[in-house]
Parts: sequence; C-alpha cells; structure tokens
Amino acid sequence: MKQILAKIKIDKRQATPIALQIAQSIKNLLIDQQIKYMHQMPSLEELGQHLDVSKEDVKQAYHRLIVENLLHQEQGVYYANYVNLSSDYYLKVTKLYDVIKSLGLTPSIKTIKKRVTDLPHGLALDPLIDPNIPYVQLKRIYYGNDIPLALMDIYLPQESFKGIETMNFDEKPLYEAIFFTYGKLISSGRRLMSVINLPREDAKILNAAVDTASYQVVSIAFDQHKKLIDISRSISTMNQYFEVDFDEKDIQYITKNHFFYI
Amino acid sequence: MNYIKIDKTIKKALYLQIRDSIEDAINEGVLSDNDRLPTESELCEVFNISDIVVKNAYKLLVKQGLVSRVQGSGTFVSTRRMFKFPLKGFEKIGDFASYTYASKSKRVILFDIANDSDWIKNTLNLKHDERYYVAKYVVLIDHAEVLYQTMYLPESLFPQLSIGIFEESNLSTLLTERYPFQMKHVKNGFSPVNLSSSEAQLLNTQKHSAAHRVRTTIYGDKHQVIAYMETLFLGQYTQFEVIVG
Repeated sequence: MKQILAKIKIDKRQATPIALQIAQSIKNLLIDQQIKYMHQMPSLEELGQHLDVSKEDVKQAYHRLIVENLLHQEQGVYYANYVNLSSDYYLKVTKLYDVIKSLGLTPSIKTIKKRVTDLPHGLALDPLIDPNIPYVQLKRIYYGNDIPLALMDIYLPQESFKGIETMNFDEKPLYEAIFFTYGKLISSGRRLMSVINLPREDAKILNAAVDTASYQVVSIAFDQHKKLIDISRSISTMNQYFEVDFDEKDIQYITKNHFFYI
Repeated sequence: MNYIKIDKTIKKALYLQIRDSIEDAINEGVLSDNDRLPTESELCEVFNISDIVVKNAYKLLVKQGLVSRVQGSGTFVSTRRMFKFPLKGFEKIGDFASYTYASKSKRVILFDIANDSDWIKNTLNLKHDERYYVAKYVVLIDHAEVLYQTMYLPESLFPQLSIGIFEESNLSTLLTERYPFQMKHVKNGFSPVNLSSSEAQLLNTQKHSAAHRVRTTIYGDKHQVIAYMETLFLGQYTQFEVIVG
C-alpha cells in the first residue's frame, strides 16, 4: 500500500480541482496496472496527509471513482475494482473466457437470453453475412471472480448450428461447445470498435453507472472453411485501455496517403 | 414539433406514425444533425398519448441509428457520417482510404509554447527547462467535426514553427517534409472517455457523449520522441477496425 501512496501525484499549481487530479492520477495507475484488482487503497487520512490536502478532497476523488466503478468500498476500506483485459483481446483471435483466466481470475458465464430471431439492424457488416436468414441469439454475461466484466450478444446462423438453441452449454465457453459439437474452429475474423454511452439496462447488468463511456466491440468470426460462425456485440466497462503499435508498413501507408487522422 | 403528424382514426400503430414522421423530417432536411426532439411529456401533452408510445417510437429511432439519447439532456437527431479507421494493417483494410469528401479543413484554436506540464516534458523526454509547442485543433470533413486533437512538439526539434506552417500542413508533411524526420515507430493507447462540456462544444455534440481517446507517441529514426498527441474521436461515429487471424 505504501507503494501505491508514493505513486499518486498531483500538481497544486494547476487550475484543475485537487479531487479531480487525485481521481485522474489513480485512474492512470489502474489503467497502467500499477494498482491491481483488489489492492487496498490508502485511507482518506493517509492519502490526505501524504499529498498535504484535505481529507474531503480525497473522499471526493474516491467517490468519483466509485461512481465510475473503478473503486469499491467495504466497511470504510477502499479497494481497486478495475480489471484491464489485455490488448490481445482486441487484436488477436482470443476467447474472452481464456482472457479472464489469464488475468488470474476465475471465469464464469451466465446465459440470460436464448432464442431464434432476426439479425438486428446494422450487424450485417460483411458480405458473408446474410441478414435474411434466422439466427440463434445468445445473450451472456462473462464474469471474473463474480464481477461482471462483459456483456455479449451473440448471433449464430441457425442453419449452420442446428439444434444449438436447445443445447445446454449456458455456463460453458461458446467456442468450446461449437468445436466439440459442430467441428468448427474460429480461424479468422474482424473486429469493429466504437465507444457508446452505456444504456441503462446494460449498466444495471454490468454494475456500472449509466452513460459511462464504454467500448462496444462487434466481432465477426469465420471458421476454417471461411464460413460465418457468429457475429457478436460485446460491451464492457472494464477493458478501458489497449495499445496498438503501427509497424513500418502502416507508417509508409499513412505518409503516402496523407491520411488525415495522423 | 410540427413535423410530427398522428392520425388516430387509422389502423397504423401510433409509435410507427411518430417514427415515420421523424424519419421523413430527417430525410427531407426539416430536421438536421444535433437537433433536439420533443421530450416524452411534450409529445404526450400535445397528442394525448401514453409515454410508452413515445418511448417505443424513440427506441426504434435509436435502433435505426437516426437519433441518440443523452441521459439528462434529451433526444437528438444524429445523422453524422460514420468513419472507419484501421487499427492496424492499413493496407489490408483499404476501404477507409477511398473516403470521398468535398472539403477537409483544420481549425487551429490554440498555438503556444509552454513549459508547465511535467507530464508532457516527461513524455517528450525534455529536460526541466526545455519547452514544447502546444497546438489544439479540430478537423472537419464536409463541415462536420470529426476529431479534436492536441499536439505537443519539442521546441528544439522544430525551429521556426509557426501557426501558419502548422495550419497548412498535416502531421506527416510537417514531420517528414517541412522538417527532416522519419516516423519510425508509432505507439497508440486507446481508451473510452465521456466528453467534458468544452470538448463536446468543440466537437459539436452533447456533453458527456462517449468518445475514443487515442494517445499517440511518434518516434523518429534515432528512437527520439518527435511528437505526442491526444485525439478525441466521436465514439458512435468512429469505428476502429482490425482483421484478426
């Protein structure tokens, strides 16, 4: 905990309110994984003394972070409540279940909806997706140590997964089930990331504040024969940071095309 | 709200009548981007309908991507264009380069030489008394705000940089043509943020709207940091794409 104390920094010469600066500093440490999930935070008095600010400022900062679901409080003790999924989750073929496991957490899954339906508007994002056939929708919550980490809304083409809506794999990773039953292996895909204001119903499930900025990732997965496995939309308030490096090819492309974002 | 028309004597569901009226108003240009729609209680009062009807109509419009709801602010028309950028593998995802637009402009709102942030000096590998340029600007495509960027450049690496030079060049021409650098390595960190009210104003959207924040560090051929920037992209109108596997 002493180590955490030394890392929290503010600059009193700046115009930004002290509480906001403290909150931002802690947020950066959480995102950089310097403060990890369930680490105990310094008490209000300790941090106030260390930074030479009032206890009230620290309290305000902690409460701001509780609203953002980054800290939680139990009997007057504050704990870090933030889990960062690895950048691999975005950039490689990964299974959320395994990503959670690799963080040292115990993964679990709960299926809250399972039915045959149409593909929602806006998800036919690839020429290989037929929006006019029935899909099996699975809505699942992925937990790590019982904290809800992500909400997944999955659509599988019914014709490729006959009978899947009646099978019981509600608590198992999806790709395991479809590999053992249907012989399909996720081999390639694409991901599209946008940021949304968390809708009320999802906020409730994820135990987060309504309207918090959250990643929404649409993933399209294909099997070894380039046939569609699924289209999924996942929302998470936990995975708030990932890194991407451009390689030389990308930089050449950017320079040549005078690409306007960079 | 005179663009909404309800006929209670016909069979068509009321929420669909509301939806169609608003959709038509958007298509005909009566409503444009960022216009506020009436509140639920306003519609209930005028048309003598239940709030469930309005809720259903607005829910459908949100689903269609024509409007967005901002907690505590209201319901707004959102007809901005969607931009898709590659996260990696620019050549594999070629279609972003084929965006056609009539106009592109950079509106510089601040240009300064500063020394006050230790964090920036640290990021740019500057000594305590060295200074850096700060520039803040908004990029507009076809007159719509697409991104808001703050750029930091070490003063010593960019002699005689002025707001004029800055306004007329984009980053890659600035670094590699105006100045003798090569971009060797680019590191990006992505995170979601809610916009502050000033950021929202600059991007012409509502306060607290969700956005992508991208922090980019650009390294030259001697591994020196030549630029650092923070970019805000509108969250719902900007997608980053990556091909996996």
